[in-house]
Amino acid sequence: VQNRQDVKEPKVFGAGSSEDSIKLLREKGLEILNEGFIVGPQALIMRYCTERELTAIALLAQSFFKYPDPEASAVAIKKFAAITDKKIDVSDLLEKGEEIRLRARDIMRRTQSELNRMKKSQEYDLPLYV
Amino acid sequence: MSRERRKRSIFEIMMEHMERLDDWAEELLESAERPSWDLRSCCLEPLWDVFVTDDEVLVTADLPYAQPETVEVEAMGENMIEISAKMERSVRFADFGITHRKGEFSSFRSRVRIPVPVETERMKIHFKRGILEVHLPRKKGYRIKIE
Repeated sequence: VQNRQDVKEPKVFGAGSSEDSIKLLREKGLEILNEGFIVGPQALIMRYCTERELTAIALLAQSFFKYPDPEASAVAIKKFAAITDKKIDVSDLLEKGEEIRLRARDIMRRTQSELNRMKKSQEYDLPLYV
Repeated sequence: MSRERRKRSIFEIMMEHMERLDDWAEELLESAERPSWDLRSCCLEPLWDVFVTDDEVLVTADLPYAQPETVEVEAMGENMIEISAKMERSVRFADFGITHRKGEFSSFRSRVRIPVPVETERMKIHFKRGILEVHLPRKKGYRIKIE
């Protein structure tokens, strides 16, 4: 999101591979991702799960567009813990947030230049539907 | 704009072209691959991003471990700013698991090229939760009426 600095607790959205999984997300009080699209490996996993009629969910937290965001990861993990009734301690992740951001610097830089090279921005092009 | 144009000397035109070439060379040098650290100045280059809107240019930079009171933004001419900050603690190559290099870094430094004309003297800076935000108002251009 654009204004991530001003967002204290990032929102988490859920997406499901089937009606059942979306129902599950709703029951657990998650906001469903109604607009937008999912890309990358998790998009493929979701698609294969839909084809094979497997129940799958994806949790997506609001995050910085171009910077590593351990806080957003922690929020998504917390939601996952709530859905599965498991206890997951994210305090380590939050405490080491700055260290992670520092360490992820170069890989993020590399990712950005790769995204530019593979013309990631094509996703935003408006299609020619008449 | 006045219709009368002063005749420019060949030298003026040549100078203009040379300046354009200089800018181009500088841009090329900047885009060349180089490490994100500099041992001589003990600096790390932070991740940064430039976003241009209708009325401003927003430059952000991720500065983990930066001491807020040491964060500085300096205008280097009309189309460049320099971001610098001291870190709360220094990091060594060993902290990244690198054993074949020796060195320590204690600050961040980066030069960011601004793609459109801005008013650097009206720049506003915020530093929130480790992220630096530099707002640079864009210079207003002149309008030409459609005849």
